[in-house]
Amino acid sequence: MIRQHRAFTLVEIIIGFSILAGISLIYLIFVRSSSKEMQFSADHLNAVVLSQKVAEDLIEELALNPYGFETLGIEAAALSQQEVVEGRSIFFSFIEDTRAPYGKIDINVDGAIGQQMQPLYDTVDKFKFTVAGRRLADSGDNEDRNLLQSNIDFFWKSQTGRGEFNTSMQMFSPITAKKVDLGLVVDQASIDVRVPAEVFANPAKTIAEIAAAAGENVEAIQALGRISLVTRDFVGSDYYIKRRNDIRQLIMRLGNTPTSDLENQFEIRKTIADTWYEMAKICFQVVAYLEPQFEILQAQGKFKTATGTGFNPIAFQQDLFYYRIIFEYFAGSMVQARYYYNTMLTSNLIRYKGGKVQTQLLQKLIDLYRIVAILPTRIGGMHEHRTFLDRIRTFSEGKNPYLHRLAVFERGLLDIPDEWLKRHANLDRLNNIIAVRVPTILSFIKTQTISMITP
Amino acid sequence: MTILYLEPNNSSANLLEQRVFRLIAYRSDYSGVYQADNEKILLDSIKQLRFTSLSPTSVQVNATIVNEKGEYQFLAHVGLMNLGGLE
Repeated sequence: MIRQHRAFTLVEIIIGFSILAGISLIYLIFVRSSSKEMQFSADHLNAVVLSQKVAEDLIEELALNPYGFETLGIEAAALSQQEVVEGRSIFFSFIEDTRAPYGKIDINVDGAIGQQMQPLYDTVDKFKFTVAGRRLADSGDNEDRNLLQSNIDFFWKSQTGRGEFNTSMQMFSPITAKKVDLGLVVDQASIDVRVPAEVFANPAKTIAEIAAAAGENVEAIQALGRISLVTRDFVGSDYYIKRRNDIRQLIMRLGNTPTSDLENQFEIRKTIADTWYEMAKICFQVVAYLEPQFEILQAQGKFKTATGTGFNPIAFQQDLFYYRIIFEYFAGSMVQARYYYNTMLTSNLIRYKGGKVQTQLLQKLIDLYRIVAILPTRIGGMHEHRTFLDRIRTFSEGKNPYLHRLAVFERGLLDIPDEWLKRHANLDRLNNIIAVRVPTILSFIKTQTISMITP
Repeated sequence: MTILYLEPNNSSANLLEQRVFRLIAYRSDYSGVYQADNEKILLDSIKQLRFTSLSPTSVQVNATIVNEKGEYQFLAHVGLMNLGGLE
């Protein structure tokens, strides 16, 4: 039997190869595209992570400094692309402390993602990004002024073309003045009812009748009555004396607390500082509430003679002095509060309480140094604030870039006092009362009280 | 309280022929008894994990993880809750 050995024909072989080539091509395309997709996904993930790093930096910067966009060099429109590697962006300049002296990152030689940081360098080298940020309202006194919008856009070249990842975020960092109604501090209506009897010893008459009889303006008599009663009530309330006694007790307790008892050392100092601060706040509220009353008195009061206006000149002299004393209480309490908050920063106490408390304390102290800097009775206040900022600058350099940038920024602003005040709405409002109006009032008090006792 | 810790992952180390670790988050309920359900493995084969804290309210993490195909390093910035003030 002859076996037939059938071979493949050339046509069959060609067809077979064609089918194989077709299948291989499809497989190759599939493998290649899935590899591209995988690469794209990895890049995308990296962009998300890097983007989040920039976002966290923005949040931290703005939590500490409402002018954080300026300190980071961010403008409303993203003008230039930044790079992730080699410390070319402020956001990626403090990555790691890799060189001695450890504990401080010197951005000239350290902190960046350099080529030695593999495989990270090769992974992120391709990324470029832009950051834009602005306040929702450029001016005005509304909620939008305190909200910030930021866009972070990452770009990279990929095998599939150009990758892009965009993030948009809103943050809160207030710069408008706090809404405070000083009228709520004093029950004005009940004060006005008491004025005829207690200030002018004339309970049967109204303020208008007293003003007519004295030849004074009604507003001037009313203002004088409010100044007299509010200052007398405050001084007579023993509030200040009682708090001073509390503080005396606390200082004795502090003296009896072992220095090794860090918890109590810290807490007692904090209670003393808080008490001084609370006293300063209450005194300031009285000073600020009465400031417009003095404005009326100065503009409309006649004070021609010691007796001609129908009120007791000695009592008037005393009430004006009370105002001066309350202002001095305010200034003194503020300086004392600052001193005791400062003592909480001693190295052993702050090592015990940790960095978070330290930052909170520094923020509080910056506020207090600002206020003391504008006190007309504290000549060295501005110098003290500058010195304090220099200390923060030195301490935070290479360790806490957010705090360091805040100190440098604030220190720079102090060289332009008008701009410094403009940037801090609450401080500007305090300044209008403390540094502008109070010296005028104190001078008025001096003039009036001298004329009262000097015929 | 949640604690994070690294423990050697010897099976992966043998496979990858280098020393790697597991990153584990364990939520303690203060009972003093180990509860397997409270343990969560966050990363399985970490080669290196470095932390840099630039402020008391954040930590930067620089992690290198390994698998059969190679190493992957990434940066993450973890913001910590900054609630409350001095009070």
